[in-house]
Amino acid sequence: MKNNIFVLKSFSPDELQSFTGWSLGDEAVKSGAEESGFLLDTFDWLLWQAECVLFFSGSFLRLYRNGKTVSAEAVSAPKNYEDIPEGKLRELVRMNTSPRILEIKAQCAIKTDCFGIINEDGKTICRIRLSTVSINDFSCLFAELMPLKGYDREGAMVQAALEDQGGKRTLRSPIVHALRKSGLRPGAYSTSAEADCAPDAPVADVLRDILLKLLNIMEQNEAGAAEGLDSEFLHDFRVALRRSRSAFTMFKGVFPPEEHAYFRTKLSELFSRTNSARDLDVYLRKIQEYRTLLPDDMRDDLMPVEKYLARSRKKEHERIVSLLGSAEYADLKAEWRSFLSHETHTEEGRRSVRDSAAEVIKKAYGRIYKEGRDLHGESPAEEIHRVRIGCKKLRYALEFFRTIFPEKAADGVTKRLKRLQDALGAHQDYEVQREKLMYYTEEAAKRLKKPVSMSLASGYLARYLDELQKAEREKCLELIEDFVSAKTRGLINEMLK
Amino acid sequence: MKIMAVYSIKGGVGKTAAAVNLAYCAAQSGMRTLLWDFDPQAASTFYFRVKPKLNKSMKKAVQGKSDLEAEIKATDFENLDIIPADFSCRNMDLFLDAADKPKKAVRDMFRSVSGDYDLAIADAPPGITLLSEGIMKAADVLAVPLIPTVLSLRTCGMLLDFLKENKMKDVTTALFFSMADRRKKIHREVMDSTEFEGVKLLENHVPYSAEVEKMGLHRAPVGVFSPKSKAADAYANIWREIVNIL
Repeated sequence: MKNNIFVLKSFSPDELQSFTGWSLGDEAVKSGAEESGFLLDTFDWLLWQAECVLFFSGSFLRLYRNGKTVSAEAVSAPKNYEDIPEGKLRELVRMNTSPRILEIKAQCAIKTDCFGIINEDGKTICRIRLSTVSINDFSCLFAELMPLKGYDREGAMVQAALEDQGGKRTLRSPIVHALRKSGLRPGAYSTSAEADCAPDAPVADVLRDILLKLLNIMEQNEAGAAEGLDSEFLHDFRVALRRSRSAFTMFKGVFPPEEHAYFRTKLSELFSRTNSARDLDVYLRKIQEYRTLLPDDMRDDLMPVEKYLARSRKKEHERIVSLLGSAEYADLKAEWRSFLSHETHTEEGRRSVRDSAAEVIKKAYGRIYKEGRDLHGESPAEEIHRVRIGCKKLRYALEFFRTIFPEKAADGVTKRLKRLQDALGAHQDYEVQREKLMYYTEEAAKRLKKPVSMSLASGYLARYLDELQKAEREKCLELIEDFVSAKTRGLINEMLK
Repeated sequence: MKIMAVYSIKGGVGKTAAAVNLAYCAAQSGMRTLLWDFDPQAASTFYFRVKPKLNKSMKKAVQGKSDLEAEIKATDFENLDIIPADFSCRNMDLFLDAADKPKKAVRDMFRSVSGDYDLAIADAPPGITLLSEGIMKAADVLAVPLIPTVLSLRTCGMLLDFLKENKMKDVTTALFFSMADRRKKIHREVMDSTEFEGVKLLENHVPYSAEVEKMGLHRAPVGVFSPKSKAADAYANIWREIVNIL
């Protein structure tokens, strides 16, 4: 018999005693432990999503996960996983949150008492851990039944007594359960911008709604991106912006040509002004991986590149701060919001979203089909990249309009597309990383008297990246073949019929 | 899993008290410990407030047909479980006699529960029987409590001869004085002059103590209700010596 946790409204020792005939042993009562502190998670609640809760007490950190706990010493709240001492807890936090920072989400107190249930011989036949978890103003009472080996029958009786007191079993740790019931709403931030409408709704209205959601996501990430708390704020900001641009462009005829051209240019300009900062974020992370790929005696030779990247990132961050704080950006946002809040659209904008979206999806897939089927082992990287861009557009369209089309077929297409995108993304990443590595090396070399060892290390890495890219290319071609196959075409047709 | 048998040919020497207290010390030190009460008098079982069994599970256990895991009970202490005494233990010799390889049967019984434990402690019944012989064969250490009297020395000599005659070289014998009262001249003389050739006599001994007698009242190891007593200290020290032999 395993430990079972029950959520209780209240706990009455007398009722338990009269139900079972056994008593709560005074001798076995362990003095109640009381812990208070804070719950930590990322801006977008990544730990919550992984069914984890991270508790910081002021002297230790404890991660609750799948009914188990892992602890580590900590005198101050960690800003990110790197502040946690080496060990399992750090690794779990890294896996689920990197590269995001951790922030305080709520106050938390846990009060625990342990009782033994004693039979007529004075023998403990099971134990109960009674805990009260308080999160901000919310409180929840739990009884964890811990049966003892060889006393299953007795454990079952105590379980029945707890159920008789209104106990409801939960599979989650008390703190994980309490957090979910506490009223905190992690779903308040979501990067999703799905259409929430009937299939016959006018496409212009639906698009405006999607674009407004994306604008809100951008705004939610502005402060974090400006403060430079972690690289994901800028990343999410850019993804929302790129999706806006993509949605706006794909449905070209829906809005008047003048406005369409104006905002398309403005959104593109805004996006390109954030490119360097994002590239440097990615590269600063990559360079740590690169160190491990180099032979031992070459590992420090990339230091000048690292320093160059860090300096450049700082400058780029200043540009991001000034961009997001500028009147120009505020005006563009105001214009964009005003445009999206008014019914300014063409005749085409009155068509049903289902018909318009089906046409866009068909067109996007057709483009991938046309460009993808001609690819071969010697195709230039740009051609493969073009297919990748087409895939991104198709993916965005599928995500925006997921609720409009039959779920099974849409999920089938998305699954295949995702696999292909992963391979195409890795292929393109190697291409860009190699180019950027050479560029950053050249830039860093301008400041050095003897750049030879650094150039050698970069050259070594560039060759390595080339090898990795070749391996990825094989995979891309296989997946593209699958994606342009009759089977995938059949799924698309089924979805759009 | 290591096996330690607490055994004496002679009864009433503090054997069960030693088995219970040493099992408690082992569990406290972090070893996952299983105490197996083979004595039909069920004294170890009583000390841990567990009910003895009345069925015939030992017959099936000897035949390898019963699930011994299902017989295990948790005690009130972390890392310490017990296989309670079974009244069918009194017929163990009959069951073993009927088995193809009686001594191997005892070893196999220990092996069937070895997965979850670091140490098994057998509280063996007194007398030389097929069961005690099987337990001695299976054990890594044979802990023998010895009252410092001439009669006790004589039965101890019989045990050592028995081990030699039966070529039980794999088991390490650890003798220790039990219920020792240094106020008695005979106890002093025996303790100060006795030497055993080729056999380990532990440096620590269990003093004659009212605390040990109170175990029946408290139904718990001495370390639980009188942790600072001389008796509790003595068992802890003896346990430390035995760990080095295990």
